[in-house]
Formats: sequence, C-alpha cells, structure tokens
Amino acid sequence: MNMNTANTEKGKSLWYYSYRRFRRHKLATGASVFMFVLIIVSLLAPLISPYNPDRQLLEFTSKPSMFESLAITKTESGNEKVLPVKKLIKEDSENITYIDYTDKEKTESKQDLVKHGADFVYKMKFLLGTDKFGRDILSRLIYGARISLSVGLISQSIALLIGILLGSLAGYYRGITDRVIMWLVNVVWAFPSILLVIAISIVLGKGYWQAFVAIGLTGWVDIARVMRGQIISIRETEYVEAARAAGYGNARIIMKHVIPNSLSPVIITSTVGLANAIIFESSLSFLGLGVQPPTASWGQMVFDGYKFLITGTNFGMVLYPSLAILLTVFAVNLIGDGIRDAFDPKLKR
Amino acid sequence: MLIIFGVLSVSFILTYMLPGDPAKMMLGQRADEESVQAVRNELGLNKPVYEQYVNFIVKACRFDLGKSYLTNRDVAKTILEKFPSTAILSITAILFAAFAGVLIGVISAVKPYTFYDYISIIVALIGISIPQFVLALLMVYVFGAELKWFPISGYIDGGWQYIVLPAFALALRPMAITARITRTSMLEVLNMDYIKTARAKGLTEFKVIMKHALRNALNPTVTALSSSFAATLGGVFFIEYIFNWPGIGSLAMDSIMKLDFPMIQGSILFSAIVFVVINFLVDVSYAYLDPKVKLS
Repeated sequence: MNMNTANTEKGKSLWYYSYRRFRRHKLATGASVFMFVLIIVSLLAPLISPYNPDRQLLEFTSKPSMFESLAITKTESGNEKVLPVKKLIKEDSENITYIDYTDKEKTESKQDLVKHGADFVYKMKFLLGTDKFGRDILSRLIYGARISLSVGLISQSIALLIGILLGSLAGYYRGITDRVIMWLVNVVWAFPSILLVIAISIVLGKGYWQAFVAIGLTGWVDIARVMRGQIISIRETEYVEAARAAGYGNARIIMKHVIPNSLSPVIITSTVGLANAIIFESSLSFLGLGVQPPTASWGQMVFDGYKFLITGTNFGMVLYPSLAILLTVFAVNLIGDGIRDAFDPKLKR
Repeated sequence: MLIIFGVLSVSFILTYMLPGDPAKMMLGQRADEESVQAVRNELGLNKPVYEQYVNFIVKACRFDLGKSYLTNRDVAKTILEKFPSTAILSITAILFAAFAGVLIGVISAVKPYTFYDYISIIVALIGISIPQFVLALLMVYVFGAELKWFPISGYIDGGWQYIVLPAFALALRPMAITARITRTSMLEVLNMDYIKTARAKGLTEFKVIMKHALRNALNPTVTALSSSFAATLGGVFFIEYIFNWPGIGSLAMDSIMKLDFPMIQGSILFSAIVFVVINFLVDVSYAYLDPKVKLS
C-alpha cells in the first residue's frame, strides 16, 4: 500500500481506494487496532492471563479491583495447590509460619512447597478483583474473549455461507427458486432473532458449538436479502451479458463475475451481523444456554455478578464483563461504519 | 398468509425436535409407563409425524396452543392475558424511540460535523452496541439501587414510575437506529434542489426542515422503526425478565428456564405473528407517508 509503487493510477483497485478511505476514518482505524489486539490476546490467552481462569480460591471470594494477597504454593500428591497467606509470621530455613484467611496459624515445611521465582512466599494481585468463587476476573475476561470472538466469527461464517449461496441462487435464477427462497427468508425474518437463537439452541442442547450453529442459522437472512438485491442489479449489467455471450456457464458467471462485484454491501451487512452475533452469544450465556461452566464467557460472568448487583458487594463482577461486551461490539460496529464509508464514494467529507 | 403458515411450520419443527418426552415432563420422570402412554395418546404423540403436523396447524388456526406442562393452564389464554402489559411497554418504548430518535437525527443532520453531531453519533453507536440485558442491569444498578430514582421491578399498576426504566432500556436500541437512519436520510434530502427552492421562497428554516425535508426523509426511518420493532419484540424478553414486568417476555423467559415447551412455543409463535402483522401495517402506512408508493 505504498504511494510510490510503480503502479499508475489506473492500476489501482476499488479495494485500494476503499482501504485509503477506511484509514481516514479515525475511529474505525482505532477500532480495528482494538480488535486486532483483542484477537492477539485471545489467541495468546494461556500466556497472557495472570492466573488460571477456572481456579477457585474460596478465600478470595468477591474481592474488589487491585486486591492483593500473599500466597504460597504447596504440592500435594503431585498437584500444586495455592495457599493464601493473610499474614506472614515467620520464615526460616525449614518452615514457613503464617496466618490464613480463617485466622488460624499454620506451618508448612519448605520441602512441600514450590518456589515461585526466588522466594517461596509471593504476592498475588487481582487487577480487576475476583468473582464469587474467588476466580480472577481479568483472566476470565481474557479467556472469555476467545468464546465471544470464536462464536461470533464461526457463526458469521455459517451465516455468510448460507446467505451468499441462497441469496445468489434467488437473485440469479429468479422465478420459482426466488419465490421459495424469499419465502424462507421472510419466515425466518418474522421470528424475533434472539428468540429463534434461543429456541434452536434449546433444540440442539446447551453448549459451545450449539451456540454458533444457532446464531449462524438465524443470521443468514439479512445477508441473503442483500446478496439477492445485488445479484438482481448485477445480472443485468453488460459485462455479465458479455460473459454469457462468450458461452460461460452459470456457475462460472456467478462465481467469477457476479459474486466478486456484489461483495461490498455483503461485507458491511456481515460486520453488523458479527456485532449482533457477539451480542447473541453473550445473551445465550447470560441465560445459561451458551458455553457451559466452568468455561468463562462474558455473558455468563454478567449473570453471575448480577445476583450480587443489588446487594452491591462487588460491582466489578458485572461492570468489567459488561464493558468487555460493550467495547467489543462497539469496535465491530465502528469498523462496519468505516467500511461502509470506505465503499460509498457518495459519502465524501 | 403464506408466511404465517411458514412460521407455524418452523415452530412445529422446532418443538418436534426438542429433546425430552413431553409426557414424562408433565408427569415427572418417575411416572409409570401406563400413565405415560395414556398422556402420549391424549397429546397425539403416538401418531405419525405428518398427522401431528396437520393437527398442530389445525389447532393453531383455532388458536389452540395446548396446555402448559407445569401449570396445566391454557397457553393461548395465558398469552392473551399477558399481552396488554407487553403491548403497553413496547408501544411506550417505540413511541419514545421514534420521537427521540427522529429529533436527535434531525438536529445532527442540520448541524453536521459539529460537536453535537459527534456526540449523538457516538451515543447512537453505543445504543446499538450494548446488549439489552447489559443495559437493563446497568440501569437497575445506577437508577434503581444507587440513585433510587425509580422502582426497579414491578408493573405499571403501581404507578407511572414503574414503566420508566424498562421502557427506556427497551427504547435505546431502536432510538439509536432511528437517529442514525434519520440523520443519513436528512443529510441526503437537505442537498436536494427543492430545499434550496423552499429556502429561496423565504420560508423559515424551521418550516423548511419540518415540512419539506423531514416529510421526505421519513421513509427510511419508518422502515428502520418497523425492523426495530423486531428488535423490541426480542429485547422485551430480557427487559421484562430483569425488571420483573409481567408480560409475554417474562412468561417466555420463565418457560425457557423451566423448559415448559408449549409455553415457549406459544410465546415464540405469538411474537412472530405479531411481527408479521406489524410489518403488514407498516407497508400500508407507507402509502400515507409517501405518495410515491401506491397500494396495490
């Protein structure tokens, strides 16, 4: 994308200009950076997250942000166990004596303990606090990003596949094919989509793949509509007529000439779809119909914290996952806006 | 009509594929085989699929949606009882969304690329981006639990204050969509020649905007509002559940939690039919709003 390449003006594609217009949309560029970071974070979750997201430390239930505590790690029959330390009393060459969170004095022999860095006693820090099981909220957010993003992306791929296929068929062949497909589109469209998602995931059973199948099977409708509209206008263009006159088959004309030229509105629709898919996933998890515990997902974290909201113990349990959902969907929508402006030369500023 | 038929079919297929044996659900898992068979016969579950299908369609046309597994109450009757409270909530929300959305959109379009415009663009984007259950929970916390301005749960018969939070939570998304669409379409219309003509005639700016521009820009807004009715119907489920509003939404949510399938099916079916009817009404209303559309 360098201005000084050998390419002359006429060699530059629609994509090149669109990219340049997109870059000018500052909010959308920022949102892309945010999404990029989020994707990296969720890919590298095991390396980045400070603690195991599923490890429960009942001593640390519902702690506020920036909570800190000392701890030691003990090996018990091959398993490592974290023992929170409220106050360290004495550390000598043999033993560590400390007060635990039930205010009892305990002594552990150093032979049973694991070194953490240079010392046996180390500091645990929970940047965003802990939930009601004493799990680290930040780590759960990081792992939850994997669920939200993967369910969003996979379900949207399913929706794109079905939507582009059915939309192209309806638009290209018209007639009875069109009427049958549009009937189906209208039927699916008539259901409030969140309800259809809920119903399909009840039918399929709760779980991870069920969530994206349910969302994908609901989300294709808008894409099919847009695709059909595009195809109808493109099939009348001269270059399609030329291809037909040259004797190409329908499949080749659809794949090589029609679909590539109709993609930009489809891309815009599918970013909106991606945003909705992330909302749907969190809604499903909120209802307990999505990814099952203990796997972390944002919607479920909101639900877990919701019970504590009224009593007001740790607002972070609701706030942070809510913000995570909001920011992610916001970023996807901003990117969608940026793409829309980039592909629409009429909307010049 | 054909669409309603399709909606019925999809509902049937979904219910047919639901896991679990309805007869056992009604009687409890420990029921003896004989009474399970008796109930299966009564519900027609032993008949072949196509016969069940025909039966279902015929019954649904008579608005007979079966009985709840849990309470044994008639589903259609329960839904109709709950319908008014959902209608009040949704209509309040949609009216607010339409009014506020158009207002925000028009002001944005009249003063494009100003501070106000950017603020409203960002607010609109947040409105679209926030899941309704998150919004509802945040409102419960901020306005209900912390500021104590409004009650956080209950029905309107306790006073008008009860509708404020749920209606606003329900309205934000359609309002945001309406504002965005109105802005775009107003910006387009304001560039037209007839607006210049109207200004040249010496009309006041207010009249130009309200009478000449807005009337012509409303068409996409109405489309947007009609499809946000779908979002509203979907959102009502979370909102009613969280604010404990006794409508179809909380009914459906309760049934989902307790896996009361006839109730789930009934409420989904009912929402879909309401949606089809609303869309029909919207199509008709185009003819009044836009003289370019003729009723066929």
